[in-house]
Amino acid sequence: MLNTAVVIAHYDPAGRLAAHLQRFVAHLGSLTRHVVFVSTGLSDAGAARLAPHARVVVRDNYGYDFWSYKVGIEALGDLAAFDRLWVLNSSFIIFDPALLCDRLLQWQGEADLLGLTQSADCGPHLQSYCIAFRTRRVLESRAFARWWGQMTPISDRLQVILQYEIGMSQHFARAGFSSGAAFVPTTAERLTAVFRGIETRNLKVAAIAGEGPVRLQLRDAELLNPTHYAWEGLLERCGILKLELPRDNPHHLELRTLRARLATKPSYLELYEDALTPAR
Amino acid sequence: MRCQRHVPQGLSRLLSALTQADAEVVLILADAGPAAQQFAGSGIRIGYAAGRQTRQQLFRAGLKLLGRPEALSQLILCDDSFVALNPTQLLAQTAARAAQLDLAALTMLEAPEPCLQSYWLSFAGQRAVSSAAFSHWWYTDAGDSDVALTRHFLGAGYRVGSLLRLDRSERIVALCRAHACGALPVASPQGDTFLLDPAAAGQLDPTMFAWDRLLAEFGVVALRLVEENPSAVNIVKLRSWIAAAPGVAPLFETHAC
Repeated sequence: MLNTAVVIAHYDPAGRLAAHLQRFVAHLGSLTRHVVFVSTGLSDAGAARLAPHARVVVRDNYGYDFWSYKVGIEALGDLAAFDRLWVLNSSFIIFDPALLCDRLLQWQGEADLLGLTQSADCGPHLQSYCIAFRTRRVLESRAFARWWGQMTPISDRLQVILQYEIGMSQHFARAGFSSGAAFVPTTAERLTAVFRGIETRNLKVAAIAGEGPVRLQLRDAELLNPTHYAWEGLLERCGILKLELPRDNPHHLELRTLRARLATKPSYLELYEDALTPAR
Repeated sequence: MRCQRHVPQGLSRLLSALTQADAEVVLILADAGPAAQQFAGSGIRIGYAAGRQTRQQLFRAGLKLLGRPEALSQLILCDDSFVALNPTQLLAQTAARAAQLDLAALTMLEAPEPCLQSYWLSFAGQRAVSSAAFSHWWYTDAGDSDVALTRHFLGAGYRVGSLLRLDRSERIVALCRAHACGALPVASPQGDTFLLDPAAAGQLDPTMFAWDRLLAEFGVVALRLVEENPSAVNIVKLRSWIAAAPGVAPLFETHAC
Protein backbone atom coordinates (compact mmCIF):
# COMPACT_ATOMS: atom_id res chain seq x y z
CA MET A 1 0.00 0.00 0.00
CA LEU A 2 1.42 3.36 -1.02
CA ASN A 3 1.86 5.87 1.76
CA THR A 4 -1.13 8.13 1.31
CA ALA A 5 -1.93 11.43 3.03
CA VAL A 6 -5.45 12.79 3.00
CA VAL A 7 -6.67 16.34 3.67
CA ILE A 8 -10.41 16.86 4.13
CA ALA A 9 -11.82 20.39 4.00
CA HIS A 10 -14.99 20.57 6.04
CA TYR A 11 -17.59 23.30 6.14
CA ASP A 12 -20.96 23.21 7.82
CA PRO A 13 -22.78 26.37 8.84
CA ALA A 14 -23.81 24.74 12.12
CA GLY A 15 -20.52 22.95 12.72
CA ARG A 16 -22.23 19.60 12.29
CA LEU A 17 -20.42 16.43 11.32
CA ALA A 18 -22.57 14.43 8.92
CA ALA A 19 -22.80 10.69 9.53
CA HIS A 20 -21.38 9.84 6.09
CA LEU A 21 -18.24 11.91 6.79
CA GLN A 22 -17.68 10.23 10.11
CA ARG A 23 -17.93 6.83 8.43
CA PHE A 24 -15.64 7.94 5.64
CA VAL A 25 -12.95 9.24 8.00
CA ALA A 26 -13.17 6.03 10.01
CA HIS A 27 -12.65 4.06 6.80
CA LEU A 28 -9.69 6.24 5.84
CA GLY A 29 -8.26 5.64 9.28
CA SER A 30 -8.09 1.96 8.41
CA LEU A 31 -6.02 2.78 5.29
CA THR A 32 -3.62 5.46 6.49
CA ARG A 33 -2.54 7.20 9.65
CA HIS A 34 -2.15 10.52 7.85
CA VAL A 35 -5.59 12.08 7.69
CA VAL A 36 -5.98 15.78 8.44
CA PHE A 37 -9.53 17.06 8.84
CA VAL A 38 -9.62 20.86 8.50
CA SER A 39 -12.89 22.48 9.50
CA THR A 40 -14.12 26.04 9.63
CA GLY A 41 -16.22 25.37 12.71
CA LEU A 42 -16.63 21.71 13.60
CA SER A 43 -18.34 21.13 16.95
CA ASP A 44 -16.31 19.71 19.84
CA ALA A 45 -18.49 16.61 19.74
CA GLY A 46 -17.74 16.13 16.05
CA ALA A 47 -14.02 16.63 16.61
CA ALA A 48 -14.07 14.05 19.39
CA ARG A 49 -15.71 11.49 17.10
CA LEU A 50 -13.00 11.97 14.48
CA ALA A 51 -10.06 12.06 16.85
CA PRO A 52 -9.32 8.30 16.73
CA HIS A 53 -8.90 8.42 12.95
CA ALA A 54 -7.71 11.90 12.00
CA ARG A 55 -5.94 14.97 13.15
CA VAL A 56 -8.57 17.70 13.44
CA VAL A 57 -7.70 21.33 12.75
CA VAL A 58 -10.36 23.96 13.34
CA ARG A 59 -9.76 27.35 11.73
CA ASP A 60 -11.66 30.57 11.10
CA ASN A 61 -14.09 30.59 8.21
CA TYR A 62 -12.44 32.31 5.24
CA GLY A 63 -10.75 31.26 2.05
CA TYR A 64 -13.11 28.40 1.19
CA ASP A 65 -11.93 24.82 0.74
CA PHE A 66 -8.65 25.72 -0.95
CA TRP A 67 -7.46 27.49 2.17
CA SER A 68 -8.38 24.43 4.21
CA TYR A 69 -6.44 22.27 1.75
CA LYS A 70 -3.42 24.53 2.25
CA VAL A 71 -3.76 24.48 6.05
CA GLY A 72 -4.10 20.69 5.98
CA ILE A 73 -1.12 20.19 3.68
CA GLU A 74 1.00 22.35 5.98
CA ALA A 75 -0.20 20.33 8.96
CA LEU A 76 1.06 17.15 7.29
CA GLY A 77 4.62 18.43 7.54
CA ASP A 78 7.26 17.04 5.20
CA LEU A 79 5.51 15.65 2.14
CA ALA A 80 8.57 13.60 1.28
CA ALA A 81 7.10 10.99 3.61
CA PHE A 82 4.18 10.42 1.26
CA ASP A 83 3.69 8.80 -2.12
CA ARG A 84 0.45 10.60 -2.81
CA LEU A 85 -1.83 13.22 -1.40
CA TRP A 86 -5.59 13.26 -1.65
CA VAL A 87 -7.54 16.45 -1.02
CA LEU A 88 -11.31 16.49 -0.84
CA ASN A 89 -14.03 18.62 0.66
CA SER A 90 -17.38 18.07 2.33
CA SER A 91 -19.54 19.22 -0.59
CA PHE A 92 -20.65 15.70 -1.43
CA ILE A 93 -22.16 12.71 0.32
CA ILE A 94 -19.93 9.65 0.44
CA PHE A 95 -22.30 6.69 0.62
CA ASP A 96 -19.70 4.03 0.02
CA PRO A 97 -16.26 4.94 1.40
CA ALA A 98 -14.65 1.73 0.17
CA LEU A 99 -15.96 2.24 -3.36
CA LEU A 100 -14.77 5.85 -3.52
CA CYS A 101 -11.34 4.92 -2.15
CA ASP A 102 -11.11 2.09 -4.61
CA ARG A 103 -12.00 4.33 -7.55
CA LEU A 104 -9.48 6.98 -6.64
CA LEU A 105 -6.64 5.07 -5.01
CA GLN A 106 -6.71 1.95 -7.20
CA TRP A 107 -7.09 3.85 -10.48
CA GLN A 108 -4.89 2.26 -13.12
CA GLY A 109 -3.66 4.96 -15.39
CA GLU A 110 -0.94 7.47 -15.95
CA ALA A 111 -1.67 10.82 -14.37
CA ASP A 112 0.12 13.04 -11.89
CA LEU A 113 -3.16 14.61 -10.83
CA LEU A 114 -6.32 12.56 -10.66
CA GLY A 115 -9.70 14.16 -10.13
CA LEU A 116 -12.78 12.12 -9.47
CA THR A 117 -14.44 14.17 -12.23
CA GLN A 118 -13.41 16.74 -14.78
CA SER A 119 -15.21 19.45 -16.70
CA ALA A 120 -14.51 21.67 -19.69
CA ASP A 121 -16.77 24.47 -18.48
CA CYS A 122 -14.65 27.68 -18.43
CA GLY A 123 -11.69 25.63 -19.61
CA PRO A 124 -10.69 22.02 -18.96
CA HIS A 125 -10.14 21.31 -15.30
CA LEU A 126 -10.34 18.69 -12.61
CA GLN A 127 -13.16 19.42 -10.22
CA SER A 128 -11.50 20.39 -6.98
CA TYR A 129 -13.89 18.72 -4.54
CA CYS A 130 -11.85 15.54 -4.92
CA ILE A 131 -8.33 15.46 -6.33
CA ALA A 132 -5.33 13.23 -5.76
CA PHE A 133 -1.74 14.29 -6.36
CA ARG A 134 -0.70 10.77 -7.10
CA THR A 135 3.00 10.83 -7.95
CA ARG A 136 6.06 11.76 -5.95
CA ARG A 137 7.14 13.69 -9.02
CA VAL A 138 4.34 16.20 -8.56
CA LEU A 139 4.48 16.25 -4.76
CA GLU A 140 8.19 17.09 -4.85
CA SER A 141 7.90 19.59 -7.68
CA ARG A 142 8.52 23.32 -7.52
CA ALA A 143 5.13 23.76 -9.16
CA PHE A 144 3.49 22.08 -6.18
CA ALA A 145 5.45 24.14 -3.65
CA ARG A 146 4.77 27.33 -5.58
CA TRP A 147 1.04 26.63 -5.95
CA TRP A 148 0.38 26.07 -2.28
CA GLY A 149 3.11 28.39 -1.00
CA GLN A 150 1.94 31.43 -2.94
CA MET A 151 -1.74 30.90 -2.27
CA THR A 152 -3.62 33.71 -0.56
CA PRO A 153 -7.10 33.29 0.89
CA ILE A 154 -9.96 34.31 -1.39
CA SER A 155 -13.42 34.58 0.10
CA ASP A 156 -15.38 35.10 -3.11
CA ARG A 157 -16.77 31.80 -4.37
CA LEU A 158 -16.61 32.63 -8.07
CA GLN A 159 -13.03 33.86 -7.77
CA VAL A 160 -12.07 30.69 -5.90
CA ILE A 161 -13.50 28.63 -8.76
CA LEU A 162 -11.83 30.68 -11.47
CA GLN A 163 -8.44 31.23 -9.83
CA TYR A 164 -8.03 28.10 -7.78
CA GLU A 165 -10.25 25.34 -9.11
CA ILE A 166 -9.73 26.04 -12.80
CA GLY A 167 -6.41 27.77 -12.19
CA MET A 168 -4.91 24.77 -10.42
CA SER A 169 -5.41 22.44 -13.37
CA GLN A 170 -3.94 25.05 -15.69
CA HIS A 171 -1.00 25.66 -13.34
CA PHE A 172 0.01 22.02 -13.19
CA ALA A 173 -0.63 21.48 -16.91
CA ARG A 174 1.68 24.38 -17.70
CA ALA A 175 4.29 22.82 -15.46
CA GLY A 176 4.12 19.64 -17.54
CA PHE A 177 2.07 17.41 -15.26
CA SER A 178 -0.58 15.12 -16.64
CA SER A 179 -4.09 14.78 -15.32
CA GLY A 180 -7.01 12.41 -15.58
CA ALA A 181 -10.41 11.67 -14.12
CA ALA A 182 -11.40 8.50 -12.31
CA PHE A 183 -15.05 8.84 -13.34
CA VAL A 184 -15.63 8.96 -17.06
CA PRO A 185 -19.29 9.09 -18.17
CA THR A 186 -20.33 6.36 -20.58
CA THR A 187 -21.55 7.19 -24.07
CA ALA A 188 -25.14 6.79 -22.88
CA GLU A 189 -24.48 9.08 -19.90
CA ARG A 190 -22.90 11.71 -22.11
CA LEU A 191 -25.87 11.59 -24.45
CA THR A 192 -28.28 11.88 -21.52
CA ALA A 193 -26.28 14.84 -20.22
CA VAL A 194 -26.57 16.55 -23.61
CA PHE A 195 -30.34 15.90 -23.71
CA ARG A 196 -30.63 17.33 -20.21
CA GLY A 197 -28.46 20.31 -21.04
CA ILE A 198 -30.54 21.18 -24.09
CA GLU A 199 -33.94 20.61 -22.54
CA THR A 200 -33.07 22.79 -19.53
CA ARG A 201 -31.63 25.36 -21.95
CA ASN A 202 -28.24 25.25 -20.28
CA LEU A 203 -26.63 23.98 -23.47
CA LYS A 204 -27.14 25.61 -26.83
CA VAL A 205 -27.56 23.49 -29.93
CA ALA A 206 -25.00 24.41 -32.54
CA ALA A 207 -25.57 24.37 -36.29
CA ILE A 208 -29.33 24.12 -36.45
CA ALA A 209 -29.75 26.22 -39.57
CA GLY A 210 -30.94 24.58 -42.78
CA GLU A 211 -33.08 21.50 -43.10
CA GLY A 212 -32.90 17.86 -42.17
CA PRO A 213 -31.48 16.21 -39.08
CA VAL A 214 -29.24 17.98 -36.60
CA ARG A 215 -26.07 16.39 -35.27
CA LEU A 216 -25.75 16.60 -31.48
CA GLN A 217 -22.14 16.44 -30.34
CA LEU A 218 -21.53 14.14 -27.40
CA ARG A 219 -18.38 16.07 -26.53
CA ASP A 220 -20.67 18.93 -25.49
CA ALA A 221 -21.35 16.86 -22.37
CA GLU A 222 -17.93 17.97 -21.18
CA LEU A 223 -19.32 21.50 -20.84
CA LEU A 224 -21.86 20.25 -18.33
CA ASN A 225 -21.03 19.57 -14.70
CA PRO A 226 -20.87 15.75 -14.46
CA THR A 227 -21.70 15.82 -10.75
CA HIS A 228 -25.12 17.15 -11.79
CA TYR A 229 -25.73 15.97 -15.32
CA ALA A 230 -24.31 12.46 -14.83
CA TRP A 231 -25.21 12.04 -11.17
CA GLU A 232 -26.60 8.54 -11.60
CA GLY A 233 -23.31 7.17 -12.89
CA LEU A 234 -21.35 8.89 -10.17
CA LEU A 235 -23.68 7.48 -7.54
CA GLU A 236 -23.55 4.00 -9.01
CA ARG A 237 -19.87 3.69 -9.79
CA CYS A 238 -18.27 5.96 -7.17
CA GLY A 239 -20.86 5.93 -4.39
CA ILE A 240 -21.15 9.71 -4.08
CA LEU A 241 -23.66 12.51 -4.64
CA LYS A 242 -22.98 16.24 -4.68
CA LEU A 243 -25.00 17.94 -1.95
CA GLU A 244 -25.73 20.93 -4.17
CA LEU A 245 -27.78 18.77 -6.50
CA PRO A 246 -30.69 17.89 -4.19
CA ARG A 247 -30.22 20.98 -2.04
CA ASP A 248 -30.27 23.70 -4.74
CA ASN A 249 -30.61 21.89 -8.08
CA PRO A 250 -29.29 24.97 -9.88
CA HIS A 251 -29.75 23.48 -13.35
CA HIS A 252 -33.32 22.38 -12.71
CA LEU A 253 -32.68 18.71 -13.40
CA GLU A 254 -35.36 16.10 -12.88
CA LEU A 255 -34.49 14.19 -9.70
CA ARG A 256 -37.63 12.17 -9.18
CA THR A 257 -35.75 8.87 -9.35
CA LEU A 258 -33.13 9.91 -6.82
CA ARG A 259 -34.80 8.63 -3.67
CA ALA A 260 -35.80 5.37 -5.33
CA ARG A 261 -32.21 4.80 -6.40
CA LEU A 262 -30.91 5.56 -2.94
CA ALA A 263 -33.45 3.20 -1.42
CA THR A 264 -31.99 0.27 -3.35
CA LYS A 265 -28.71 0.40 -1.39
CA PRO A 266 -28.35 -0.28 2.30
CA SER A 267 -27.96 2.90 4.41
CA TYR A 268 -27.83 5.28 1.42
CA LEU A 269 -31.19 6.88 2.15
CA GLU A 270 -30.38 7.21 5.84
CA LEU A 271 -27.04 8.92 5.10
CA TYR A 272 -28.72 11.14 2.52
CA GLU A 273 -31.36 12.36 4.94
CA ASP A 274 -28.77 12.92 7.63
CA ALA A 275 -26.57 14.95 5.25
CA LEU A 276 -29.49 17.10 4.15
CA THR A 277 -30.65 17.83 7.68
CA PRO A 278 -30.97 21.60 7.80
CA ALA A 279 -28.49 23.50 9.95
CA ARG A 280 -29.91 24.13 13.40
CA MET B 1 -66.71 25.67 -21.17
CA ARG B 2 -67.26 23.00 -18.65
CA CYS B 3 -66.78 22.86 -14.96
CA GLN B 4 -68.28 21.16 -11.97
CA ARG B 5 -69.30 22.69 -8.65
CA HIS B 6 -66.80 25.53 -8.40
CA VAL B 7 -65.23 27.68 -11.09
CA PRO B 8 -61.57 28.06 -10.27
CA GLN B 9 -59.73 31.35 -10.13
CA GLY B 10 -57.85 30.86 -13.39
CA LEU B 11 -60.99 30.09 -15.34
CA SER B 12 -62.82 32.99 -13.70
CA ARG B 13 -60.12 35.33 -14.93
CA LEU B 14 -60.41 33.97 -18.44
CA LEU B 15 -64.19 34.42 -18.38
CA SER B 16 -63.74 37.98 -17.15
CA ALA B 17 -61.29 38.74 -19.93
CA LEU B 18 -63.75 37.34 -22.48
CA THR B 19 -66.67 39.42 -21.22
CA GLN B 20 -64.48 42.51 -21.02
CA ALA B 21 -63.62 41.91 -24.67
CA ASP B 22 -67.38 42.03 -25.37
CA ALA B 23 -67.50 38.36 -26.25
CA GLU B 24 -70.73 36.46 -25.97
CA VAL B 25 -69.89 33.75 -23.46
CA VAL B 26 -71.59 30.41 -22.84
CA LEU B 27 -70.45 28.36 -19.88
CA ILE B 28 -71.44 24.71 -19.59
CA LEU B 29 -71.53 23.40 -16.05
CA ALA B 30 -72.26 20.00 -14.59
CA ASP B 31 -75.18 21.25 -12.51
CA ALA B 32 -76.80 24.33 -11.04
CA GLY B 33 -74.50 24.38 -8.01
CA PRO B 34 -72.42 27.19 -6.51
CA ALA B 35 -70.55 27.71 -9.77
CA ALA B 36 -73.73 28.86 -11.47
CA GLN B 37 -74.34 31.38 -8.65
CA GLN B 38 -70.87 32.80 -9.20
CA PHE B 39 -71.86 34.13 -12.61
CA ALA B 40 -75.36 35.35 -11.88
CA GLY B 41 -75.69 38.78 -13.45
CA SER B 42 -72.38 38.57 -15.28
CA GLY B 43 -73.93 38.33 -18.73
CA ILE B 44 -72.54 34.82 -19.17
CA ARG B 45 -75.09 32.28 -20.32
CA ILE B 46 -75.02 29.11 -18.30
CA GLY B 47 -75.90 25.67 -19.63
CA TYR B 48 -75.82 22.30 -17.95
CA ALA B 49 -74.52 18.94 -19.09
CA ALA B 50 -74.78 16.28 -16.45
CA GLY B 51 -72.85 13.02 -16.48
CA ARG B 52 -69.72 12.04 -18.32
CA GLN B 53 -69.51 13.71 -21.68
CA THR B 54 -66.70 14.24 -24.09
CA ARG B 55 -65.24 17.66 -24.71
CA GLN B 56 -66.86 17.79 -28.14
CA GLN B 57 -70.28 16.83 -26.75
CA LEU B 58 -69.94 19.68 -24.26
CA PHE B 59 -68.98 22.09 -27.02
CA ARG B 60 -72.10 20.96 -28.89
CA ALA B 61 -74.20 21.70 -25.83
CA GLY B 62 -72.67 25.17 -25.66
CA LEU B 63 -73.26 25.85 -29.33
CA LYS B 64 -76.91 24.83 -29.01
CA LEU B 65 -77.29 27.42 -26.27
CA LEU B 66 -75.43 30.02 -28.29
CA GLY B 67 -77.71 29.55 -31.28
CA ARG B 68 -76.56 29.65 -34.88
CA PRO B 69 -73.25 31.53 -34.97
CA GLU B 70 -73.38 32.77 -38.59
CA ALA B 71 -72.99 36.37 -37.54
CA LEU B 72 -69.86 35.78 -35.54
CA SER B 73 -66.47 36.89 -36.80
CA GLN B 74 -64.68 34.56 -34.40
CA LEU B 75 -65.72 31.59 -32.32
CA ILE B 76 -63.54 30.26 -29.54
CA LEU B 77 -64.25 26.87 -27.99
CA CYS B 78 -62.29 25.97 -24.90
CA ASP B 79 -62.45 23.88 -21.78
CA ASP B 80 -60.99 24.06 -18.29
CA SER B 81 -58.08 21.69 -18.80
CA PHE B 82 -55.49 24.46 -18.72
CA VAL B 83 -54.56 27.58 -16.81
CA ALA B 84 -54.29 30.83 -18.70
CA LEU B 85 -51.94 32.98 -16.67
CA ASN B 86 -52.63 36.03 -18.77
CA PRO B 87 -56.02 35.67 -20.47
CA THR B 88 -55.75 39.04 -22.16
CA GLN B 89 -52.47 37.99 -23.75
CA LEU B 90 -54.00 34.69 -24.83
CA LEU B 91 -56.95 36.40 -26.50
CA ALA B 92 -54.74 38.98 -28.19
CA GLN B 93 -52.33 36.33 -29.46
CA THR B 94 -55.24 34.21 -30.69
CA ALA B 95 -56.76 37.14 -32.55
CA ALA B 96 -53.43 38.06 -34.10
CA ARG B 97 -52.30 34.62 -35.17
CA ALA B 98 -55.58 32.89 -35.98
CA ALA B 99 -56.59 35.36 -38.67
CA GLN B 100 -54.78 33.45 -41.43
CA LEU B 101 -56.53 30.19 -40.53
CA ASP B 102 -60.14 29.10 -40.72
CA LEU B 103 -59.66 26.80 -37.77
CA ALA B 104 -56.79 27.16 -35.35
CA ALA B 105 -55.92 25.25 -32.22
CA LEU B 106 -53.49 26.62 -29.72
CA THR B 107 -51.48 23.45 -30.22
CA MET B 108 -51.57 20.43 -32.46
CA LEU B 109 -49.81 17.17 -33.12
CA GLU B 110 -48.50 16.77 -36.65
CA ALA B 111 -47.88 13.03 -36.67
CA PRO B 112 -48.90 10.31 -37.29
CA GLU B 113 -51.57 12.61 -38.71
CA PRO B 114 -52.57 16.23 -38.02
CA CYS B 115 -54.52 16.52 -34.79
CA LEU B 116 -55.74 19.82 -33.41
CA GLN B 117 -55.90 19.79 -29.62
CA SER B 118 -59.41 20.94 -28.93
CA TYR B 119 -58.93 22.46 -25.47
CA TRP B 120 -58.64 25.78 -27.33
CA LEU B 121 -60.08 26.13 -30.83
CA SER B 122 -60.68 29.27 -32.79
CA PHE B 123 -62.87 29.49 -35.89
CA ALA B 124 -62.11 32.75 -37.69
CA GLY B 125 -64.38 34.45 -40.22
CA GLN B 126 -68.04 34.06 -41.05
CA ARG B 127 -67.33 31.43 -43.68
CA ALA B 128 -65.72 29.22 -41.07
CA VAL B 129 -68.73 29.29 -38.77
CA SER B 130 -71.47 29.14 -41.37
CA SER B 131 -70.38 26.34 -43.63
CA ALA B 132 -72.16 23.07 -44.08
CA ALA B 133 -69.08 21.35 -42.72
CA PHE B 134 -69.31 23.41 -39.54
CA SER B 135 -72.98 22.58 -39.10
CA HIS B 136 -72.45 18.93 -39.84
CA TRP B 137 -69.74 18.60 -37.24
CA TRP B 138 -71.30 20.58 -34.44
CA TYR B 139 -75.01 20.01 -34.91
CA THR B 140 -74.91 16.28 -35.48
CA ASP B 141 -73.02 13.61 -33.61
CA ALA B 142 -70.38 13.51 -36.32
CA GLY B 143 -67.51 12.48 -34.08
CA ASP B 144 -65.86 12.89 -30.74
CA SER B 145 -62.14 12.77 -31.21
CA ASP B 146 -59.65 15.51 -32.00
CA VAL B 147 -58.29 13.44 -34.88
CA ALA B 148 -61.78 13.08 -36.39
CA LEU B 149 -62.45 16.80 -35.96
CA THR B 150 -59.21 17.68 -37.71
CA ARG B 151 -59.86 15.22 -40.55
CA HIS B 152 -63.36 16.59 -40.97
CA PHE B 153 -62.37 20.22 -41.31
CA LEU B 154 -59.27 19.48 -43.39
CA GLY B 155 -61.50 17.44 -45.68
CA ALA B 156 -63.87 20.36 -45.94
CA GLY B 157 -61.05 22.57 -47.18
CA TYR B 158 -60.54 24.57 -44.01
CA ARG B 159 -57.15 26.16 -43.52
CA VAL B 160 -56.18 24.40 -40.31
CA GLY B 161 -53.17 24.96 -38.08
CA SER B 162 -51.84 25.71 -34.66
CA LEU B 163 -51.07 29.04 -33.05
CA LEU B 164 -47.96 27.72 -31.33
CA ARG B 165 -45.24 27.27 -33.92
CA LEU B 166 -42.01 25.58 -32.96
CA ASP B 167 -38.92 26.46 -34.93
CA ARG B 168 -36.10 23.96 -35.46
CA SER B 169 -34.38 24.93 -32.26
CA GLU B 170 -37.55 24.52 -30.19
CA ARG B 171 -38.28 21.20 -31.86
CA ILE B 172 -34.87 19.99 -30.81
CA VAL B 173 -35.51 21.11 -27.24
CA ALA B 174 -38.82 19.18 -27.28
CA LEU B 175 -37.13 16.07 -28.66
CA CYS B 176 -34.32 16.25 -26.10
CA ARG B 177 -36.94 16.63 -23.38
CA ALA B 178 -38.72 13.53 -24.66
CA HIS B 179 -35.48 11.56 -24.84
CA ALA B 180 -34.39 12.73 -21.40
CA CYS B 181 -37.57 11.49 -19.72
CA GLY B 182 -37.73 8.27 -21.73
CA ALA B 183 -40.85 9.18 -23.69
CA LEU B 184 -38.94 8.57 -26.91
CA PRO B 185 -36.54 5.65 -27.30
CA VAL B 186 -32.91 6.59 -27.84
CA ALA B 187 -31.05 5.10 -30.77
CA SER B 188 -27.34 4.45 -30.51
CA PRO B 189 -25.12 7.44 -31.22
CA GLN B 190 -23.06 7.36 -34.41
CA GLY B 191 -19.57 7.71 -33.08
CA ASP B 192 -19.44 10.93 -31.15
CA THR B 193 -22.62 12.37 -32.59
CA PHE B 194 -26.33 11.77 -32.29
CA LEU B 195 -28.72 12.54 -35.12
CA LEU B 196 -31.91 14.30 -34.24
CA ASP B 197 -34.56 15.10 -36.83
CA PRO B 198 -36.51 18.22 -35.85
CA ALA B 199 -39.46 16.96 -37.89
CA ALA B 200 -39.88 14.10 -35.41
CA ALA B 201 -41.06 16.63 -32.81
CA GLY B 202 -44.37 16.68 -34.67
CA GLN B 203 -45.37 13.46 -32.92
CA LEU B 204 -44.94 15.04 -29.46
CA ASP B 205 -47.74 16.65 -27.50
CA PRO B 206 -46.68 20.33 -27.30
CA THR B 207 -48.60 20.86 -24.06
CA MET B 208 -46.16 18.41 -22.44
CA PHE B 209 -42.94 18.65 -24.42
CA ALA B 210 -43.01 22.33 -25.41
CA TRP B 211 -44.58 23.54 -22.19
CA ASP B 212 -42.07 26.34 -21.77
CA ARG B 213 -42.80 27.82 -25.23
CA LEU B 214 -46.54 27.54 -24.61
CA LEU B 215 -46.04 29.35 -21.32
CA ALA B 216 -43.72 31.99 -22.75
CA GLU B 217 -45.80 32.79 -25.84
CA PHE B 218 -49.36 32.30 -24.62
CA GLY B 219 -49.17 32.15 -20.83
CA VAL B 220 -50.83 28.73 -20.94
CA VAL B 221 -50.04 25.62 -18.90
CA ALA B 222 -51.90 22.32 -19.29
CA LEU B 223 -53.19 21.18 -15.91
CA ARG B 224 -52.44 17.57 -16.77
CA LEU B 225 -48.77 18.43 -16.97
CA VAL B 226 -48.72 19.83 -13.45
CA GLU B 227 -51.17 17.39 -11.88
CA GLU B 228 -50.25 14.09 -13.56
CA ASN B 229 -47.22 14.67 -15.77
CA PRO B 230 -47.87 11.33 -17.49
CA SER B 231 -44.58 11.30 -19.42
CA ALA B 232 -42.50 12.36 -16.40
CA VAL B 233 -41.32 15.42 -18.31
CA ASN B 234 -38.82 17.59 -16.47
CA ILE B 235 -40.95 20.38 -14.98
CA VAL B 236 -38.67 21.28 -12.09
CA LYS B 237 -38.30 24.81 -13.43
CA LEU B 238 -42.06 25.14 -13.96
CA ARG B 239 -42.83 23.99 -10.44
CA SER B 240 -40.24 26.38 -9.00
CA TRP B 241 -41.73 29.20 -11.01
CA ILE B 242 -45.31 28.39 -9.99
CA ALA B 243 -44.24 28.36 -6.35
CA ALA B 244 -42.28 31.61 -6.56
CA ALA B 245 -44.18 33.86 -8.98
CA PRO B 246 -46.60 36.19 -7.20
CA GLY B 247 -50.23 35.08 -7.46
CA VAL B 248 -49.56 32.08 -9.70
CA ALA B 249 -49.78 29.13 -7.29
CA PRO B 250 -53.46 29.80 -6.40
CA LEU B 251 -54.39 29.53 -10.07
CA PHE B 252 -53.27 25.91 -9.96
CA GLU B 253 -54.27 25.04 -6.42
CA THR B 254 -57.89 26.00 -6.81
CA HIS B 255 -58.34 24.31 -10.13
CA ALA B 256 -59.43 20.96 -8.72
CA CYS B 257 -63.12 21.57 -9.32
